[in-house]
Amino acid sequence: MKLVVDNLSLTMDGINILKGISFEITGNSLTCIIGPNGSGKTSILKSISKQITEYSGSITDFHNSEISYLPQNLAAPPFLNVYDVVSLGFYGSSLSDKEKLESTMNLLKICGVSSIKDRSFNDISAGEKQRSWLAFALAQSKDVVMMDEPFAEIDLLSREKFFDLLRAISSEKTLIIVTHEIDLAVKYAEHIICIKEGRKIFDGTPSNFDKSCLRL
Amino acid sequence: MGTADNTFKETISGLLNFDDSIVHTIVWHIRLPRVAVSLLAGGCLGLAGALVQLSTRCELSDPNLFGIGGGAAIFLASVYAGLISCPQLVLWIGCLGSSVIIGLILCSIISSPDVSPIKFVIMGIAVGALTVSIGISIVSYGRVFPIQLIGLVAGSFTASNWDMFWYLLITLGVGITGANLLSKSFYPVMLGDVLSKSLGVDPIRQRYLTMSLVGVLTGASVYAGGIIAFVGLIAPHISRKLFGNSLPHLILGSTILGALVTLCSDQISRLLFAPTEFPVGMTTTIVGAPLIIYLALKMK
Repeated sequence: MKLVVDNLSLTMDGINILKGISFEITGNSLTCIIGPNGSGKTSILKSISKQITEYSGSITDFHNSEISYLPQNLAAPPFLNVYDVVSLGFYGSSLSDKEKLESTMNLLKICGVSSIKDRSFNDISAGEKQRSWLAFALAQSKDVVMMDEPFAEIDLLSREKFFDLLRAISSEKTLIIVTHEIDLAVKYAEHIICIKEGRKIFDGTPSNFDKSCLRL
Repeated sequence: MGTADNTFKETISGLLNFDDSIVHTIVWHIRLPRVAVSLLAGGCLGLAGALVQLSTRCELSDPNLFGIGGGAAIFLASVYAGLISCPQLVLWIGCLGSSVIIGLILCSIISSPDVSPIKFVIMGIAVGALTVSIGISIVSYGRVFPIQLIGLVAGSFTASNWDMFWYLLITLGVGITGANLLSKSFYPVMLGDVLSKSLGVDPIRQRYLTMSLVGVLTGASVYAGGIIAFVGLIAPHISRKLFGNSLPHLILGSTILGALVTLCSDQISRLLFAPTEFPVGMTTTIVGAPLIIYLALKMK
Protein backbone atom coordinates (compact mmCIF):
# COMPACT_ATOMS: atom_id res chain seq x y z
CA MET A 1 0.00 0.00 0.00
CA LYS A 2 1.25 3.45 -0.85
CA LEU A 3 -0.34 6.89 -0.45
CA VAL A 4 0.75 9.34 -3.13
CA VAL A 5 -0.12 13.04 -2.94
CA ASP A 6 0.90 14.90 -6.08
CA ASN A 7 0.95 18.69 -6.51
CA LEU A 8 -1.89 19.24 -4.02
CA SER A 9 -3.16 22.85 -4.00
CA LEU A 10 -6.14 24.25 -2.21
CA THR A 11 -7.72 27.69 -2.32
CA MET A 12 -10.63 28.55 -0.03
CA ASP A 13 -12.29 31.95 0.28
CA GLY A 14 -9.55 33.44 -1.87
CA ILE A 15 -6.75 32.23 0.40
CA ASN A 16 -4.10 29.82 -0.91
CA ILE A 17 -4.00 27.27 1.88
CA LEU A 18 -1.92 24.61 0.17
CA LYS A 19 0.58 25.35 -2.57
CA GLY A 20 1.65 22.39 -4.69
CA ILE A 21 2.39 19.80 -2.03
CA SER A 22 3.67 16.37 -3.05
CA PHE A 23 4.72 13.42 -0.92
CA GLU A 24 4.55 9.65 -0.68
CA ILE A 25 3.74 7.61 2.38
CA THR A 26 4.52 3.91 2.46
CA GLY A 27 2.28 1.40 4.20
CA ASN A 28 2.62 0.27 7.82
CA SER A 29 4.56 3.26 9.03
CA LEU A 30 4.29 6.19 11.40
CA THR A 31 4.33 9.55 9.62
CA CYS A 32 4.10 12.89 11.40
CA ILE A 33 3.04 16.04 9.60
CA ILE A 34 4.43 18.99 11.54
CA GLY A 35 4.48 22.74 11.13
CA PRO A 36 3.25 25.98 12.70
CA ASN A 37 -0.41 26.84 13.32
CA GLY A 38 -2.31 27.70 10.18
CA SER A 39 0.28 26.12 7.88
CA GLY A 40 -2.28 23.83 6.25
CA LYS A 41 -1.65 20.53 8.06
CA THR A 42 -5.28 19.85 8.84
CA SER A 43 -6.32 20.73 5.28
CA ILE A 44 -4.03 17.97 4.02
CA LEU A 45 -5.76 15.39 6.22
CA LYS A 46 -9.19 16.68 5.22
CA SER A 47 -8.25 16.44 1.55
CA ILE A 48 -6.97 12.89 1.92
CA SER A 49 -10.15 11.86 3.78
CA LYS A 50 -12.32 13.62 1.15
CA GLN A 51 -13.90 16.04 3.59
CA ILE A 52 -12.49 18.74 1.35
CA THR A 53 -12.88 18.03 -2.36
CA GLU A 54 -12.18 21.43 -3.93
CA TYR A 55 -8.44 20.80 -4.20
CA SER A 56 -6.38 20.51 -7.37
CA GLY A 57 -3.66 17.93 -7.88
CA SER A 58 -4.07 14.24 -7.20
CA ILE A 59 -4.29 11.96 -4.17
CA THR A 60 -4.25 8.17 -4.33
CA ASP A 61 -7.89 7.31 -4.53
CA PHE A 62 -8.63 5.56 -1.32
CA HIS A 63 -12.20 4.67 -0.92
CA ASN A 64 -13.42 6.26 2.27
CA SER A 65 -13.73 2.73 3.54
CA GLU A 66 -9.95 2.47 3.91
CA ILE A 67 -9.34 5.54 6.05
CA SER A 68 -10.25 6.23 9.62
CA TYR A 69 -9.93 9.93 10.44
CA LEU A 70 -10.06 11.39 13.95
CA PRO A 71 -10.50 15.17 13.79
CA GLN A 72 -9.17 17.65 16.32
CA ASN A 73 -11.03 18.46 19.56
CA LEU A 74 -13.49 15.60 19.45
CA ALA A 75 -16.29 16.40 21.88
CA ALA A 76 -16.87 13.68 24.45
CA PRO A 77 -20.04 11.83 23.54
CA PRO A 78 -22.59 12.21 26.32
CA PHE A 79 -24.05 9.18 28.08
CA LEU A 80 -21.45 6.69 26.79
CA ASN A 81 -18.73 4.86 28.67
CA VAL A 82 -15.30 3.97 27.29
CA TYR A 83 -16.36 0.48 26.25
CA ASP A 84 -19.40 1.85 24.37
CA VAL A 85 -17.27 4.30 22.40
CA VAL A 86 -14.65 1.74 21.39
CA SER A 87 -17.21 -0.91 20.45
CA LEU A 88 -18.97 1.66 18.24
CA GLY A 89 -15.97 1.34 15.93
CA PHE A 90 -17.51 -2.00 14.95
CA TYR A 91 -20.83 -0.36 14.08
CA GLY A 92 -22.23 -1.90 10.91
CA SER A 93 -19.50 -4.56 10.72
CA SER A 94 -20.48 -8.13 10.00
CA LEU A 95 -18.87 -9.54 13.16
CA SER A 96 -21.05 -11.45 15.60
CA ASP A 97 -21.79 -9.87 18.99
CA LYS A 98 -19.37 -12.27 20.64
CA GLU A 99 -16.59 -11.42 18.19
CA LYS A 100 -17.25 -7.71 18.67
CA LEU A 101 -17.02 -8.12 22.44
CA GLU A 102 -13.73 -10.02 22.21
CA SER A 103 -12.19 -7.63 19.71
CA THR A 104 -13.26 -4.61 21.74
CA MET A 105 -11.73 -6.06 24.91
CA ASN A 106 -8.55 -6.77 23.01
CA LEU A 107 -8.31 -3.21 21.66
CA LEU A 108 -9.01 -1.75 25.10
CA LYS A 109 -6.08 -3.78 26.36
CA ILE A 110 -3.74 -2.80 23.52
CA CYS A 111 -4.49 0.89 24.10
CA GLY A 112 -4.17 0.57 27.87
CA VAL A 113 -7.71 1.58 28.75
CA SER A 114 -9.25 -1.75 29.78
CA SER A 115 -9.17 -0.80 33.47
CA ILE A 116 -11.40 2.22 32.83
CA LYS A 117 -13.77 0.62 30.33
CA ASP A 118 -16.86 1.15 32.50
CA ARG A 119 -16.20 4.79 33.29
CA SER A 120 -18.19 7.56 31.68
CA PHE A 121 -16.31 9.03 28.73
CA ASN A 122 -16.88 12.49 30.19
CA ASP A 123 -15.00 11.63 33.37
CA ILE A 124 -11.68 10.33 32.05
CA SER A 125 -8.50 12.33 31.44
CA ALA A 126 -7.53 13.86 28.11
CA GLY A 127 -4.81 11.23 27.63
CA GLU A 128 -7.24 8.41 28.33
CA LYS A 129 -9.71 9.92 25.88
CA GLN A 130 -7.13 9.94 23.09
CA ARG A 131 -6.20 6.32 23.80
CA SER A 132 -9.87 5.41 23.68
CA TRP A 133 -10.37 7.27 20.40
CA LEU A 134 -7.38 5.45 18.98
CA ALA A 135 -8.93 2.13 20.07
CA PHE A 136 -12.14 3.25 18.35
CA ALA A 137 -10.25 4.06 15.15
CA LEU A 138 -8.52 0.68 15.25
CA ALA A 139 -11.89 -1.01 15.71
CA GLN A 140 -12.95 0.47 12.39
CA SER A 141 -10.35 -1.93 10.94
CA LYS A 142 -9.12 0.32 8.15
CA ASP A 143 -5.65 0.42 6.63
CA VAL A 144 -4.96 4.07 7.32
CA VAL A 145 -5.54 5.91 10.61
CA MET A 146 -5.18 9.69 10.57
CA MET A 147 -5.22 11.76 13.76
CA ASP A 148 -5.27 15.53 13.99
CA GLU A 149 -3.47 17.03 17.01
CA PRO A 150 -4.08 14.13 19.39
CA PHE A 151 -1.71 15.64 21.96
CA ALA A 152 -3.42 18.88 22.85
CA GLU A 153 -4.14 19.02 26.59
CA ILE A 154 -2.09 15.92 27.32
CA ASP A 155 0.89 16.10 29.69
CA LEU A 156 4.37 15.24 28.50
CA LEU A 157 4.60 11.79 30.10
CA SER A 158 1.30 10.73 28.56
CA ARG A 159 2.44 12.07 25.20
CA GLU A 160 5.49 9.84 25.29
CA LYS A 161 3.34 6.88 26.26
CA PHE A 162 0.97 7.66 23.41
CA PHE A 163 3.82 7.83 20.90
CA ASP A 164 5.09 4.49 22.19
CA LEU A 165 1.67 3.05 21.51
CA LEU A 166 1.51 4.59 18.01
CA ARG A 167 4.93 3.20 17.22
CA ALA A 168 3.85 -0.28 18.27
CA ILE A 169 0.67 -0.13 16.21
CA SER A 170 2.45 1.20 13.12
CA SER A 171 3.82 -2.25 12.36
CA GLU A 172 0.33 -3.17 11.16
CA LYS A 173 -1.27 0.15 10.24
CA THR A 174 -0.40 3.25 8.27
CA LEU A 175 -0.56 6.07 10.80
CA ILE A 176 -0.55 9.73 9.79
CA ILE A 177 -0.41 12.13 12.73
CA VAL A 178 -0.66 15.89 12.58
CA THR A 179 1.12 17.45 15.55
CA HIS A 180 2.94 20.46 16.97
CA GLU A 181 5.04 18.13 19.04
CA ILE A 182 8.22 18.40 16.97
CA ASP A 183 10.72 16.87 19.42
CA LEU A 184 8.62 13.78 20.07
CA ALA A 185 7.73 13.44 16.39
CA VAL A 186 11.42 13.39 15.54
CA LYS A 187 12.05 10.86 18.32
CA TYR A 188 9.30 8.39 17.39
CA ALA A 189 8.20 8.85 13.76
CA GLU A 190 9.76 7.08 10.80
CA HIS A 191 8.83 9.81 8.37
CA ILE A 192 8.52 13.56 8.89
CA ILE A 193 6.74 15.96 6.57
CA CYS A 194 7.09 19.61 7.53
CA ILE A 195 4.66 22.21 6.20
CA LYS A 196 5.02 25.97 6.44
CA GLU A 197 2.66 28.54 4.92
CA GLY A 198 1.10 25.93 2.67
CA ARG A 199 4.43 24.68 1.27
CA LYS A 200 6.37 21.53 2.02
CA ILE A 201 9.71 22.51 3.49
CA PHE A 202 10.93 19.09 4.60
CA ASP A 203 10.16 15.48 3.67
CA GLY A 204 12.34 12.66 4.93
CA THR A 205 13.57 10.64 7.87
CA PRO A 206 13.82 12.23 11.33
CA SER A 207 17.58 11.87 11.38
CA ASN A 208 17.85 14.30 8.47
CA PHE A 209 15.40 16.79 9.95
CA ASP A 210 16.79 20.15 10.97
CA LYS A 211 14.53 22.20 13.18
CA SER A 212 16.05 25.43 11.99
CA CYS A 213 14.18 25.10 8.68
CA LEU A 214 11.04 26.19 10.54
CA ARG A 215 12.57 29.45 11.65
CA LEU A 216 13.43 30.72 8.18
CA MET B 1 -60.66 14.88 47.35
CA GLY B 2 -60.33 18.06 45.32
CA THR B 3 -62.87 20.71 44.35
CA ALA B 4 -65.76 18.25 44.60
CA ASP B 5 -65.06 16.59 47.92
CA ASN B 6 -66.25 12.99 47.53
CA THR B 7 -65.36 10.28 50.00
CA PHE B 8 -63.39 7.25 48.86
CA LYS B 9 -66.54 5.09 49.09
CA GLU B 10 -68.53 7.53 46.98
CA THR B 11 -65.78 7.62 44.39
CA ILE B 12 -65.65 3.82 44.10
CA SER B 13 -69.40 3.57 43.78
CA GLY B 14 -69.33 6.36 41.20
CA LEU B 15 -66.72 4.43 39.28
CA LEU B 16 -68.65 1.18 39.28
CA ASN B 17 -72.28 2.29 39.11
CA PHE B 18 -73.30 3.55 35.73
CA ASP B 19 -76.06 5.94 36.67
CA ASP B 20 -76.68 9.63 36.28
CA SER B 21 -75.38 10.55 39.73
CA ILE B 22 -73.10 13.54 40.06
CA VAL B 23 -70.35 11.41 41.51
CA HIS B 24 -70.46 9.06 38.51
CA THR B 25 -70.25 12.01 36.14
CA ILE B 26 -67.34 13.56 38.01
CA VAL B 27 -65.38 10.32 38.15
CA TRP B 28 -66.02 9.11 34.60
CA HIS B 29 -66.11 12.36 32.69
CA ILE B 30 -63.75 14.62 34.62
CA ARG B 31 -61.37 12.77 36.91
CA LEU B 32 -60.60 9.59 34.94
CA PRO B 33 -60.00 11.27 31.58
CA ARG B 34 -57.77 13.76 33.37
CA VAL B 35 -55.66 10.97 34.89
CA ALA B 36 -55.46 9.14 31.56
CA VAL B 37 -54.67 12.25 29.52
CA SER B 38 -52.02 13.49 31.95
CA LEU B 39 -50.35 10.06 31.88
CA LEU B 40 -50.25 9.97 28.08
CA ALA B 41 -49.22 13.60 27.66
CA GLY B 42 -46.43 13.02 30.19
CA GLY B 43 -45.36 9.88 28.32
CA CYS B 44 -45.14 11.91 25.10
CA LEU B 45 -43.03 14.55 26.86
CA GLY B 46 -40.70 12.05 28.52
CA LEU B 47 -40.06 10.28 25.21
CA ALA B 48 -39.65 13.59 23.35
CA GLY B 49 -37.11 14.63 25.98
CA ALA B 50 -35.05 11.47 25.54
CA LEU B 51 -35.10 11.88 21.74
CA VAL B 52 -34.16 15.54 21.75
CA GLN B 53 -31.26 14.86 24.14
CA LEU B 54 -29.98 12.00 22.00
CA SER B 55 -30.19 13.74 18.67
CA THR B 56 -28.66 17.04 19.83
CA ARG B 57 -26.01 15.33 22.02
CA CYS B 58 -26.99 17.72 24.78
CA GLU B 59 -28.08 16.52 28.20
CA LEU B 60 -29.77 19.80 29.05
CA SER B 61 -32.28 19.71 26.20
CA ASP B 62 -36.00 19.91 26.92
CA PRO B 63 -38.63 20.09 24.17
CA ASN B 64 -40.76 22.70 25.96
CA LEU B 65 -37.90 24.82 27.23
CA PHE B 66 -36.61 25.00 23.62
CA GLY B 67 -39.86 26.18 22.07
CA ILE B 68 -40.91 22.97 20.33
CA GLY B 69 -44.04 23.00 22.47
CA GLY B 70 -44.22 26.75 21.89
CA GLY B 71 -45.03 26.08 18.23
CA ALA B 72 -48.22 24.29 19.25
CA ALA B 73 -48.91 27.01 21.83
CA ILE B 74 -48.87 29.65 19.07
CA PHE B 75 -51.41 27.59 17.13
CA LEU B 76 -53.61 27.08 20.21
CA ALA B 77 -53.35 30.79 21.05
CA SER B 78 -54.61 31.64 17.56
CA VAL B 79 -57.57 29.35 18.12
CA TYR B 80 -58.31 30.82 21.56
CA ALA B 81 -58.07 34.33 20.14
CA GLY B 82 -60.59 33.43 17.47
CA LEU B 83 -58.18 33.84 14.57
CA ILE B 84 -58.68 30.21 13.56
CA SER B 85 -61.69 28.07 14.35
CA CYS B 86 -61.52 24.32 14.03
CA PRO B 87 -62.81 21.01 15.43
CA GLN B 88 -60.83 18.87 17.91
CA LEU B 89 -59.25 16.71 15.20
CA VAL B 90 -57.86 19.71 13.33
CA LEU B 91 -56.77 21.25 16.64
CA TRP B 92 -54.72 18.13 17.35
CA ILE B 93 -53.18 17.99 13.89
CA GLY B 94 -52.50 21.74 13.91
CA CYS B 95 -50.63 21.45 17.21
CA LEU B 96 -48.51 18.57 15.90
CA GLY B 97 -47.74 20.46 12.68
CA SER B 98 -46.72 23.71 14.32
CA SER B 99 -44.45 21.94 16.81
CA VAL B 100 -42.82 19.96 14.00
CA ILE B 101 -42.03 23.28 12.26
CA ILE B 102 -40.20 24.61 15.35
CA GLY B 103 -38.43 21.26 15.75
CA LEU B 104 -37.13 21.52 12.20
CA ILE B 105 -36.01 25.11 12.75
CA LEU B 106 -34.00 24.01 15.81
CA CYS B 107 -32.59 21.18 13.76
CA SER B 108 -31.31 23.54 11.10
CA ILE B 109 -29.65 25.61 13.84
CA ILE B 110 -27.74 22.70 15.34
CA SER B 111 -26.79 21.32 11.93
CA SER B 112 -24.74 24.40 11.11
CA PRO B 113 -21.07 23.89 11.97
CA ASP B 114 -19.51 25.12 15.22
CA VAL B 115 -22.66 24.92 17.32
CA SER B 116 -21.58 23.44 20.64
CA PRO B 117 -24.18 21.94 23.00
CA ILE B 118 -23.94 25.03 25.23
CA LYS B 119 -24.56 27.42 22.33
CA PHE B 120 -27.46 25.22 21.33
CA VAL B 121 -28.99 25.43 24.82
CA ILE B 122 -28.84 29.23 24.71
CA MET B 123 -30.34 29.40 21.24
CA GLY B 124 -32.99 26.83 22.20
CA ILE B 125 -34.06 28.87 25.22
CA ALA B 126 -34.22 31.97 23.00
CA VAL B 127 -36.49 30.12 20.56
CA GLY B 128 -38.58 28.97 23.53
CA ALA B 129 -38.96 32.50 24.90
CA LEU B 130 -39.81 33.77 21.43
CA THR B 131 -42.60 31.25 20.84
CA VAL B 132 -44.15 31.88 24.26
CA SER B 133 -44.04 35.65 23.67
CA ILE B 134 -45.74 35.27 20.30
CA GLY B 135 -48.37 32.99 21.89
CA ILE B 136 -49.06 35.43 24.74
CA SER B 137 -49.24 38.38 22.32
CA ILE B 138 -51.82 36.59 20.18
CA VAL B 139 -53.89 35.64 23.24
CA SER B 140 -53.71 39.21 24.58
CA TYR B 141 -54.79 40.53 21.19
CA GLY B 142 -57.80 38.22 21.32
CA ARG B 143 -58.72 39.31 24.87
CA VAL B 144 -58.96 35.71 26.04
CA PHE B 145 -59.74 34.81 29.67
CA PRO B 146 -56.58 34.86 31.78
CA ILE B 147 -57.29 31.32 32.99
CA GLN B 148 -56.92 29.99 29.42
CA LEU B 149 -53.69 31.89 29.03
CA ILE B 150 -52.30 30.40 32.23
CA GLY B 151 -53.34 26.92 31.13
CA LEU B 152 -51.61 27.45 27.80
CA VAL B 153 -48.22 28.72 28.99
CA ALA B 154 -48.04 27.04 32.41
CA GLY B 155 -49.89 23.78 31.81
CA SER B 156 -53.31 22.53 32.82
CA PHE B 157 -55.27 19.30 32.32
CA THR B 158 -58.67 20.72 33.35
CA ALA B 159 -59.99 20.44 29.78
CA SER B 160 -59.24 16.71 29.49
CA ASN B 161 -61.79 14.49 27.74
CA TRP B 162 -61.90 11.05 26.18
CA ASP B 163 -61.38 12.36 22.62
CA MET B 164 -58.11 13.81 23.75
CA PHE B 165 -57.18 10.47 25.26
CA TRP B 166 -57.56 8.66 21.93
CA TYR B 167 -55.61 11.29 19.99
CA LEU B 168 -52.78 11.10 22.51
CA LEU B 169 -52.79 7.32 22.48
CA ILE B 170 -52.32 7.36 18.70
CA THR B 171 -49.52 9.93 19.00
CA LEU B 172 -47.66 8.00 21.66
CA GLY B 173 -48.00 4.79 19.64
CA VAL B 174 -46.48 6.50 16.61
CA GLY B 175 -43.78 8.03 18.85
CA ILE B 176 -42.67 4.76 20.44
CA THR B 177 -42.66 2.93 17.10
CA GLY B 178 -40.70 5.72 15.41
CA ALA B 179 -38.22 5.97 18.28
CA ASN B 180 -37.51 2.26 18.10
CA LEU B 181 -37.00 2.40 14.34
CA LEU B 182 -34.55 5.29 14.72
CA SER B 183 -32.85 3.99 17.85
CA LYS B 184 -30.01 1.99 16.32
CA SER B 185 -28.59 4.98 14.48
CA PHE B 186 -28.41 7.14 17.61
CA TYR B 187 -25.17 5.55 18.81
CA PRO B 188 -23.02 6.81 15.88
CA VAL B 189 -24.73 10.21 16.00
CA MET B 190 -23.59 10.62 19.61
CA LEU B 191 -19.95 10.53 18.45
CA GLY B 192 -20.36 13.75 16.48
CA ASP B 193 -20.96 14.45 12.81
CA VAL B 194 -17.58 13.52 11.33
CA LEU B 195 -17.32 10.14 13.06
CA SER B 196 -21.01 9.42 12.51
CA LYS B 197 -20.51 9.81 8.76
CA SER B 198 -17.43 7.61 8.90
CA LEU B 199 -19.63 4.89 10.42
CA GLY B 200 -22.09 5.27 7.57
CA VAL B 201 -24.87 7.13 9.39
CA ASP B 202 -25.90 10.56 8.09
CA PRO B 203 -26.26 12.60 11.30
CA ILE B 204 -28.25 15.39 9.67
CA ARG B 205 -30.88 13.07 8.26
CA GLN B 206 -31.14 11.31 11.63
CA ARG B 207 -31.61 14.64 13.42
CA TYR B 208 -34.32 15.88 11.06
CA LEU B 209 -36.25 12.61 11.40
CA THR B 210 -35.87 12.64 15.18
CA MET B 211 -36.84 16.28 15.61
CA SER B 212 -39.96 15.73 13.48
CA LEU B 213 -40.93 12.94 15.84
CA VAL B 214 -40.14 15.18 18.84
CA GLY B 215 -42.42 17.83 17.28
CA VAL B 216 -45.27 15.34 16.94
CA LEU B 217 -44.93 14.14 20.55
CA THR B 218 -44.52 17.58 22.09
CA GLY B 219 -47.28 19.12 19.97
CA ALA B 220 -49.70 16.47 21.20
CA SER B 221 -48.77 17.11 24.83
CA VAL B 222 -49.35 20.87 24.41
CA TYR B 223 -52.65 20.17 22.68
CA ALA B 224 -53.73 18.27 25.80
CA GLY B 225 -52.13 20.20 28.64
CA GLY B 226 -50.36 23.33 27.46
CA ILE B 227 -46.64 23.94 27.98
CA ILE B 228 -45.33 21.79 30.82
CA ALA B 229 -41.65 22.49 31.15
CA PHE B 230 -38.90 20.20 32.47
CA VAL B 231 -40.73 16.84 32.24
CA GLY B 232 -38.79 16.08 29.06
CA LEU B 233 -35.59 17.00 30.88
CA ILE B 234 -36.24 15.09 34.09
CA ALA B 235 -37.66 11.81 32.76
CA PRO B 236 -34.64 10.65 30.72
CA HIS B 237 -32.28 11.47 33.58
CA ILE B 238 -34.24 9.43 36.11
CA SER B 239 -34.58 6.66 33.56
CA ARG B 240 -30.80 6.49 33.03
CA LYS B 241 -30.27 6.24 36.78
CA LEU B 242 -32.90 3.51 37.21
CA PHE B 243 -32.69 1.44 34.03
CA GLY B 244 -29.25 2.24 32.58
CA ASN B 245 -28.09 3.60 29.27
CA SER B 246 -29.29 1.06 26.71
CA LEU B 247 -31.55 2.72 24.17
CA PRO B 248 -34.57 0.38 24.33
CA HIS B 249 -34.60 0.86 28.13
CA LEU B 250 -34.20 4.61 27.75
CA ILE B 251 -37.08 4.92 25.29
CA LEU B 252 -39.51 2.92 27.42
CA GLY B 253 -38.18 4.23 30.75
CA SER B 254 -38.44 7.89 29.75
CA THR B 255 -41.98 7.36 28.50
CA ILE B 256 -43.13 5.68 31.71
CA LEU B 257 -41.33 8.12 33.99
CA GLY B 258 -42.59 11.12 32.03
CA ALA B 259 -46.10 9.77 32.46
CA LEU B 260 -45.71 9.23 36.21
CA VAL B 261 -44.00 12.57 36.86
CA THR B 262 -46.74 14.40 35.00
CA LEU B 263 -49.58 12.52 36.69
CA CYS B 264 -48.11 13.15 40.15
CA SER B 265 -47.42 16.81 39.36
CA ASP B 266 -50.97 17.29 38.11
CA GLN B 267 -52.46 15.69 41.19
CA ILE B 268 -50.25 17.82 43.46
CA SER B 269 -51.26 20.96 41.54
CA ARG B 270 -54.92 20.00 41.88
CA LEU B 271 -54.97 18.93 45.51
CA LEU B 272 -52.32 20.86 47.41
CA PHE B 273 -54.33 24.06 47.71
CA ALA B 274 -57.79 22.62 46.88
CA PRO B 275 -60.22 24.01 45.91
CA THR B 276 -57.73 26.37 44.21
CA GLU B 277 -55.71 24.70 41.45
CA PHE B 278 -52.40 25.95 40.28
CA PRO B 279 -50.76 25.22 36.90
CA VAL B 280 -49.15 21.78 36.57
CA GLY B 281 -46.15 23.35 34.84
CA MET B 282 -45.31 25.16 38.08
CA THR B 283 -44.91 21.90 39.98
CA THR B 284 -42.68 20.40 37.29
CA THR B 285 -40.61 23.59 37.15
CA ILE B 286 -40.09 23.65 40.91
CA VAL B 287 -38.59 20.17 40.60
CA GLY B 288 -36.92 20.65 37.21
CA ALA B 289 -35.23 24.02 37.60
CA PRO B 290 -32.92 22.93 40.45
CA LEU B 291 -32.16 19.75 38.49
CA ILE B 292 -30.97 21.67 35.42
CA ILE B 293 -28.73 23.81 37.65
CA TYR B 294 -27.29 20.68 39.27
CA LEU B 295 -26.67 19.05 35.86
CA ALA B 296 -25.07 22.19 34.47
CA LEU B 297 -22.74 22.35 37.47
CA LYS B 298 -21.78 18.71 36.99
CA MET B 299 -21.19 19.10 33.24
CA LYS B 300 -17.62 19.30 31.98
